[in-house]
Amino acid sequence: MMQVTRLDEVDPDWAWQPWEPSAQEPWDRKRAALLLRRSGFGATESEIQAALQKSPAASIEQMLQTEGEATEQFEVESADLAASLVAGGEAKSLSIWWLHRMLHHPQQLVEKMTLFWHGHFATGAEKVLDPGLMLDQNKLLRKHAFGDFRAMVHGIAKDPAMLIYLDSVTNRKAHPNENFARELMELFCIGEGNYTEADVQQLARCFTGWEIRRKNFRFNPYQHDSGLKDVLGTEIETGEAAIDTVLSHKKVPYFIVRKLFHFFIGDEPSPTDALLRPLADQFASDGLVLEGMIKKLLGSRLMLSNWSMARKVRSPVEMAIGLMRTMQMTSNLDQLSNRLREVGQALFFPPNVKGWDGGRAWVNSSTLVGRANLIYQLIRDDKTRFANGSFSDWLQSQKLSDPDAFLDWFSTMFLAVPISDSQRMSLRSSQDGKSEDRMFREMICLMAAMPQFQLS
Amino acid sequence: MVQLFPESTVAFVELAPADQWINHPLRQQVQASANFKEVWRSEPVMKLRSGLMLAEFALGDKAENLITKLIHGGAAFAVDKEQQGVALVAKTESKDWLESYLKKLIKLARDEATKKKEDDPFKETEYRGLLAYKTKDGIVAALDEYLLITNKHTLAKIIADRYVDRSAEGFEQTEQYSQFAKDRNQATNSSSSETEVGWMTVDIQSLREAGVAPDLLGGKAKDFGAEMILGGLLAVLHQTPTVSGTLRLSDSKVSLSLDSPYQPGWGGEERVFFFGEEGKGHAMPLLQSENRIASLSAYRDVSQMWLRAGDLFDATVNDQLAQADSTLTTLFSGRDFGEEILGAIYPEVRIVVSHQDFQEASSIPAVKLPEFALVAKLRKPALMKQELKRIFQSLVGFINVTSAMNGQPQLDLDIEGDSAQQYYTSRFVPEVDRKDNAEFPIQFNFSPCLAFVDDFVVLSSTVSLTKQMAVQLKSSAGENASPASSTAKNTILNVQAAALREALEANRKLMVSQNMVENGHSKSEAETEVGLLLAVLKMLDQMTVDLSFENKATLETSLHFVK
Repeated sequence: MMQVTRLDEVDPDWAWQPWEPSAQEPWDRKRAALLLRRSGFGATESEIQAALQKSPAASIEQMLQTEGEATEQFEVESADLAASLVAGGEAKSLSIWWLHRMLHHPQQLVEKMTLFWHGHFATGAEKVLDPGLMLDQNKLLRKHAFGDFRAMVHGIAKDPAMLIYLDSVTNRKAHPNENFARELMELFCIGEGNYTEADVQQLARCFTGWEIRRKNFRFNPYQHDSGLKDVLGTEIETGEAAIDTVLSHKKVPYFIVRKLFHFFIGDEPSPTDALLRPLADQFASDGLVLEGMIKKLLGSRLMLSNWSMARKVRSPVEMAIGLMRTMQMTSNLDQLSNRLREVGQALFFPPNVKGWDGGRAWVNSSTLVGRANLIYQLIRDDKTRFANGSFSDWLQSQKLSDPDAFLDWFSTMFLAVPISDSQRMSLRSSQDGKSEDRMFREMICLMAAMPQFQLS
Repeated sequence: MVQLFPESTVAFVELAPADQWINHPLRQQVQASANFKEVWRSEPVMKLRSGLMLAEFALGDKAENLITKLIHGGAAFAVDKEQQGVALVAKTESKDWLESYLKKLIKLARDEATKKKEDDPFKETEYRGLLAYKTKDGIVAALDEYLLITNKHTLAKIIADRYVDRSAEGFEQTEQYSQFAKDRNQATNSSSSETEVGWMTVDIQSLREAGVAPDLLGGKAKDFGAEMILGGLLAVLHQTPTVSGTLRLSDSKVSLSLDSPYQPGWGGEERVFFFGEEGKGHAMPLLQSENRIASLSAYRDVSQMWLRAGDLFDATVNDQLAQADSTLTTLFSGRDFGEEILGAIYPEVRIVVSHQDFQEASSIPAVKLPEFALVAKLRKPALMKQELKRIFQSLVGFINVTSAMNGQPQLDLDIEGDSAQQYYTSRFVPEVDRKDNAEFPIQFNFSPCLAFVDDFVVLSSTVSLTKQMAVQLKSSAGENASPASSTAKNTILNVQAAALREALEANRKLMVSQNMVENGHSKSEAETEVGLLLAVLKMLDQMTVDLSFENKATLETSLHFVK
């Protein structure tokens, strides 16, 4: 069994082979928690136990199943919730709806991947305004979350919310709008340095006549530049052909796989093309269908190695929803949505077209205090319940009445790096004489300011 | 019990002995109704009942019996100024009963603390031969058959000393209590159909002098809306020495009346908008409508309020009003908003709020809001009818321009009716190429409409309510002829529970969603809670609030139950 110490030394052929348990890296609660945390938003004790009854590969296979009675039932409930929240006319309410999905959706990978694409095809409701359009885009991203990337890009190119966000409501042949054309190559498919300014101008001509009228996409042939355009060395005419041309660029699989590597495995360092090649090759050979590549990535030796532990900084949403799912918490999601906004992750309101920077950018001296406050408020909110009951009842049901047992459990389930002995002593020393309920709540609040709490 | 409280008491509330109200016919009538039985069998109430049954089992008696024995001779609650504490005293059935049940309760609490690994919450002690349990936050004591609970140890000692020493000088001998007792006796003698079950008196002057709730009891107003609704009450609270109250039960309602001394002129010039000249500002009779949720009639000279804002409000509100005044003056074609627009109507304003059933509507919105109408009499009808009509048309145009810029639905302006009665209507137009049968946006609750009926102006959120108001104003022309034919009340509010329930029922899905996201409830939990709220509303008939300023200021609130 190879021990990963430096990413640039990892053998690509070894990295993406299916992970197998070993004496050094057993399939235990800690590793199952890692898999469920990265592929979703955290898991309860019973979900961890269920995962341990299966191999990681079998768990991942189950995560990719989007159908089932529980899912269908949940979708009906979620649709009702969305309709009610959208009826109020406020895009901000959608954030609440999505938090509800992240917290309760039986298939967590769907929501995690949708969050990834929301950051990738970033669209801000502060400009789009219409919550219905934002909801439609979110549905589009979810529909193709680990499906056909080509279909997703074609959908996004005609998505009213995206076109409003990129000022492409009207795109006339006399003045082609370059915004969408540029972002299609730079941010969505290929990445900077792999195209020229001339490619942007030519690509923009392909999308002339693409308009939004009464919140719907329409093609206006009178405003379409029907001449031939040279995009990335290929002569084409229509917008659809232009998208296919961009998607056929050799850098597309690497661009997407690299982003997914950072999303699922580690913020730093950036992997080499050589390391990513096996995944990129699979993605390309699957005709840009994501499922096979994602299955390979999640179940890989690298993903489940010790190296991968604590390689990611939790985003505010991952931190809050992760804690809530782990401890079976429910709370006031309206308040939670506002608090997440304060620490920089308002869902449906990404900061710009590049989405959230992620990684170390989540944590600085200001946001660290904000993140700790968020957990403090969540834990102490009167509306917060644990498995639909009180915190003390939940502690009893989990047999966690001893402080050391609680800290051990919490370290395994939620933290990627265990707390040190000195931290443990410090956490315990301030809690003498307090009730279990108060003591454990305060311990969580104190831990929320520790470095370990920030890492996934 | 009043003799137990010291002279420094500033608020005193007394509850009649339990046998006077626990089996009141109102309770029996409510309990016999099918709606009550529905609530009683609902899931959340069943949970409460099972908790109650456990407590009954632990204490060995039915809750009703326990209450009857606990408040056998009544109960009193007091706030003490000097000790800055509160105390509750209940005269129980007997000394033995109290000691026995106190011990049982303390044992239950101790067992619970042990279960939670918490420290013993009670420290048993004795003071002048009386049994007491000290807690971190106060003290529980048995003064023979009297149960005492207070948050201040010093106050507990004072009350215990007064009990043991049978002290003569106390709250009972104060002028405040004497007046309160005198008023109470008079009221009891004059009222026969209602049972008085609770009384209160508060020394507002002492609270004011002690700097309690400075925003409520003194100073300039900080909220425009609150001032408009409650300005007169605030003026009274700034001047009155005391406020007293009585809780009454009758066969069909519970009512609470709060009284205070009152002198015309207490509000000063700046609150003439509320009281009227020489305190003669009276409300007109309430207006009716189909599916009426609420009807409000009040004397509020909003123009005067706007113009005197400098004396009435603090600097922050005045800054906001200055900004609003400038914007509104522009919006109303350069006419001064306070003087000319608000000044165009007499101060007797009436508002009606009704549930919309949308049965005949082709465009049903997802969120179903009630419709409302404002009715007022014009000061210069000939001039103002033309002006208001033009301003209404300009506003519709303005809404259409801003809606078009934001991709929102627009209004279609029209004139309906005949030469005898015209309605200036506007209706939102659905998009011609709607793809699906999705419900319409929130704007489709509104079809703003303006009408003039004799010298009255009706401005409503819907055409249909405007028409209802017009018919009513015509049919009761004599009653509505002038403010002089009004009631002697300053403000009258009536809320109908059935229509309110229908309005909430129409938005049940929305309420369930709100409950889910705000309380973190599952859908079934949220549905149960919303269902309970709606079922409770079924038990209610109406709520009324009357405010009057005659020889005294009186705020009377009644909750009527379905018979």
